[in-house]
Amino acid sequence: MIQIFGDYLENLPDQDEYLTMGFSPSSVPLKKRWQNNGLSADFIADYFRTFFVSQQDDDDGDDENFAAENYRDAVKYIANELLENAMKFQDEQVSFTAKIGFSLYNDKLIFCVTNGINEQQVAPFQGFIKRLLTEAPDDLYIQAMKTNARKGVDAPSRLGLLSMVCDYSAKLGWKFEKRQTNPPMTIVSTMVCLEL
Amino acid sequence: MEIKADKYSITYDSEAATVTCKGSLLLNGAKEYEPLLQLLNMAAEQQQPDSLTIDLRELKFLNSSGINMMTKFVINVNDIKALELEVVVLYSKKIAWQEKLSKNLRRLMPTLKAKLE
Repeated sequence: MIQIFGDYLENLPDQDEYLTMGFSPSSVPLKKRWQNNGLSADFIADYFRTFFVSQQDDDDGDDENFAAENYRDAVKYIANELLENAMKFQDEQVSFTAKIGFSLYNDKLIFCVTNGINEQQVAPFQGFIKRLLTEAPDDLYIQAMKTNARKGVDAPSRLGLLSMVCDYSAKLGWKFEKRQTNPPMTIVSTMVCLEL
Repeated sequence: MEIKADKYSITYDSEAATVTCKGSLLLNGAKEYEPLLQLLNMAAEQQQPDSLTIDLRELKFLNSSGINMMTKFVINVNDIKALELEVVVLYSKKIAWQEKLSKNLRRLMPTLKAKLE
């Protein structure tokens, strides 16, 4: 069974530039890869920056440099959050290679991270997604901050996806694909589109 | 008082009433940020009823769990403990996310002063 939420594109437009990175559970356990999230996000952000700067005129000067650095920081933030979520929620009992894809277009960037989650994680995640798609994101963001301040350290903060929408004006979409494995597994793809 | 690791440092100078954050903060969830939050809360308790400055200018990167720590701190000062404390955030005009964070913190604590340097 496949369920789609939000701005999810099943078929991405053709692109010239893209990166895909895979994280196999058969090597180092995903949750021990935390240190690598920042390195992978830096790699994606530097790859983007090289592409972005080469598209600009040489004499645009400091303003373009500032724009390039800001976009670079946004790319790093989004890539890192998606990787952190994939590591946090990946079910290590199932054999599935989590991966992140990054596609560059002239007017936008598309990130897509795919990981496997267990059945118990599906309903709360979809409940959050439905709220994000139907309520005012800015209100949800502040509400999440206030709720987090009064709850324990183990509860998920949900701030990562909310900040992408509220602070970076990103568009988000999801695909849930249930697999008939033993134990049952759902493959979640989270897509983030950032307009340039 | 200082919390220091390879990629970041958080330093509290009680005489200057300033907590300075440097480097990149990419810790895993609220549990790993707890000691940093405790340092901020302790500094706030110590500096009331005066002013505490949070200097972010050399903080290059903060993940969402770090944003969570900062918003928890501000809510703790403003709502939970309701401290008589002026909070000043120093941020850099060269780092765009710092302005976004400052705006969000001001939504939670309208008296917070955000200074661009």
